[in-house]
Amino acid sequence: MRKYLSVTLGILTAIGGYVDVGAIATAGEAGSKYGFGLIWAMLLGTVCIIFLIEMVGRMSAMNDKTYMDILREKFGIKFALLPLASELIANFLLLAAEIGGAAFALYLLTGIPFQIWTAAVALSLWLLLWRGSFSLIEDGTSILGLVTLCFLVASFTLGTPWNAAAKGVVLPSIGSGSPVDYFYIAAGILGAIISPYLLFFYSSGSREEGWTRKMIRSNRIIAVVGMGFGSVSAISIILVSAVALKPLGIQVGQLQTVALGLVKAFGIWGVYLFAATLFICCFGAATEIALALSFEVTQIMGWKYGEDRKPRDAAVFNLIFLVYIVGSTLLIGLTGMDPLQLTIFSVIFTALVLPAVVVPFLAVMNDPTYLKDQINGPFSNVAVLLIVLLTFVLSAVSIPLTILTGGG
Amino acid sequence: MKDELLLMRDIVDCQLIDSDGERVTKVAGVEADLREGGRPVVRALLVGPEPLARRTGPRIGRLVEHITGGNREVRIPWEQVLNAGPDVDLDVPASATGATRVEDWVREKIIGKIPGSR
Amino acid sequence: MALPEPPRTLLWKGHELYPARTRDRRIAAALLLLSVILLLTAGCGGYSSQAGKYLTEARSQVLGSAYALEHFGDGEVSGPFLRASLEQYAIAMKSTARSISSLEPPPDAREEHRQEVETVSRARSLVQQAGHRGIALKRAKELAQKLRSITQELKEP
Repeated sequence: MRKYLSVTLGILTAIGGYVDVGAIATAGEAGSKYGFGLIWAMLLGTVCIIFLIEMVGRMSAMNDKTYMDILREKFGIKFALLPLASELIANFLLLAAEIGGAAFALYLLTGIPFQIWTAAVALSLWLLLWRGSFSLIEDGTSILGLVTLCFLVASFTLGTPWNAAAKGVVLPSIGSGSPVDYFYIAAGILGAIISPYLLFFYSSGSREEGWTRKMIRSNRIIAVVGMGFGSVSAISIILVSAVALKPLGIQVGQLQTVALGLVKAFGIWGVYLFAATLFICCFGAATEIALALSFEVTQIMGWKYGEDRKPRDAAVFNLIFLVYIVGSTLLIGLTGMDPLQLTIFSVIFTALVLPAVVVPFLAVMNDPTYLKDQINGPFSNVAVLLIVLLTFVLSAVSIPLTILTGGG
Repeated sequence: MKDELLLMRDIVDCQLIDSDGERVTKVAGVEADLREGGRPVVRALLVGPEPLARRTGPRIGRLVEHITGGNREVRIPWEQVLNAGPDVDLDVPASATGATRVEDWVREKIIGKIPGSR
Repeated sequence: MALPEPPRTLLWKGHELYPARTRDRRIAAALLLLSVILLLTAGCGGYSSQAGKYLTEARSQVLGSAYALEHFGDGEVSGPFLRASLEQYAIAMKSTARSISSLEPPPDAREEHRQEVETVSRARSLVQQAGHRGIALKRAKELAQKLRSITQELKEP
C-alpha cells in the first residue's frame, strides 16, 4: 500500500517542481506565441527529469543518504559548496516568485491587494511547514493539485486539433516569431523543468518515507507517472493557449491572460479554476522550495533534518525555512516585483550551475559503494551523458539569450 | 574497525553518527601527529566552522576565524570512534561531543521560543 | 599537531584534477569571453524589431483587456477578476508605453512613433479607469469595442 501511496510523492514533486508560476506563465506564453511549436521542449525536459529523478530516487533507496549528503561525502566540501551556493540564491528568488504567484491568484479572485495576500500566504506556508507532517503536505498538495487537470479538460473542450499538435511536436516551426525569442523560451522551459531543488527534494522525500531497495521498481513508476503528470499539465497549458489565445492575437505577457483560455473553455468557472490552479501549484512549489532549502543546508552540514520531527528536534532545519519564508516574502511584498521576473533571474542562476549538479551523477550512479548492485546500465549512462551535455548548452546560452531578448 | 581506512574517503567529510544513531555533523578535518619517517597518526576528528573553512581555502579560513574568534574548533578524540567509512560511528551521544553547538543555540534561542515547537 | 595545510589544488577526494593556477586562468578566460559577448550583444536589434516587439506586447495587453471586458459583459468573468486584470494590464501598458518612448526612431518614423506612444497611453488610461472604478455590465462591451478599434491603430511599423 505504501508503495502506491508513494505515487503521491511523485505527484507532489511534479506539481511543486514542475507546474509553478514560471511554468504556467511560460507555457502560456509558448502556446500563445508559437502554438504547438514548443511542445518538444516540454517533452525533452520531461524525459531528462524523469531520468534524473529515477536515478536520485534509486540513489537514496539503496543507502540512507540523500543526494546532498553524497555530494559532500563523495566529492568533498569544496565541490559541494557550488551547487549549495547556487541553491541558496536561486531558491530565495524562486520562493519569492511562488509566494507572489499564490498571492496573485488570491488577488485575482478577490480584488484584495496583492501585498496583503503575500503576508497571508507566507503565514499559512510557515504554519504548514512548522506543524504539518510530510505526509500531510505531500498528500494535500497532490490531491489538490489535481485541479491542474482542468487545463487538460479545456484542451479537449476547446477542440484542440490533435493532428496539428502532433505535427507541431515532430516538426516545430518558429512561424513569424524571432528565433532568439523562440530559443529563449525553449531554454526557459528546459531550465525550469530541470531544477536542482526538485532533485534534492525528491531525494530527501524518499528518506522521509524510509525507502529501501524494495522501492526501486515503484520509484521508476513514480518518476514516470509523477513527472509525466506534470508534463501533461504543462503541455495542456500550451495547448489551451495555442487554441484559445493565439488565433485572437493575444500573447501571454501577464499571468491573468492565461486565465482567458479557461474562460473560453468553461465560461464563469474559468476564472475560479485558474485561480485555484495558480494558487495550489504555487503554494505547493513554495512548500517544496522552502523544505528543499532546509534539507540542503542540514544535509550538507550533516545536521539533523526531518519534517516529521518536532521542531525542537531539528532546530536548524526549522529555522532555515522560517528565515527564507520571511526573507522571500519581504522581497516580493515590499518590492512588488513581477513573479515572472524573479523566476527568470532564478532560472538563470540555476542554469549556470546546473552542470555541477548533474555531472556528479556520472560518478555516483556507477559507484557500487552507494548503489550496490543497482548501478547504472549503459543505457542510463548514455542518458546521463546526454543530459550533462544539455545542461552545458543551457548554461552557456542562458545569459546571452536573456540579454538578446532584453529579459523576455 | 576496518583494516584499512582511507582518510579522505572514509573520514573527512563523512557523516558522524552518535551512539543513539542520530546525525551529529560531518567531519571537517583531522588532527594528526606527524612522526619522523612514519605515517601520520590520526589523534582526533575536527568539526566546526573553523576547520571546515580552513579546508575550503586558506583565505576563507582566515576570514571565518576572524569572525568567530578562533575558538570554534571541536575535537573528537579518536578513541570515541567505533567505526569509519562510509559513516563515522561514535561511542558517545551527540551531547558529549561538543559538536552540537549550532543546533543547541538555535533550539534554545529561537526555535524553542516559538509556540508549537514541542 | 594539526596536519600541514594541503597544497592549493582542486581535490576530488584525494584525486588531483588540475592545479589551482590552471583553474583560475580558465575561470578568468571564461569571464572575459562572457564580458565580450555581453558587450557585443548590448543594444541588439534595430528600431523596427524592437518597436515591433513592444507593439505586439501592447496589442496583446489591449486585446486581453477587451476580451476580459466582453466576457464580463456576458457574465462569464467575475467582477474582482475583471478589475484585478484591468489593473494589471494598465500597469503593463504603462511599462510598454515607456519602453516604446525610450526608443529612438529614425526620422521618417518619428510621427508614427509619437502616435503609437499616445495610442498606448490612451488605451492605458481607459483600462486603468475601468479597473480602478469598476464598470457597469452594460458598458463593458462598449469599452471592449473601443479598445478593439484602438488595436487597429497599433499596427506593425
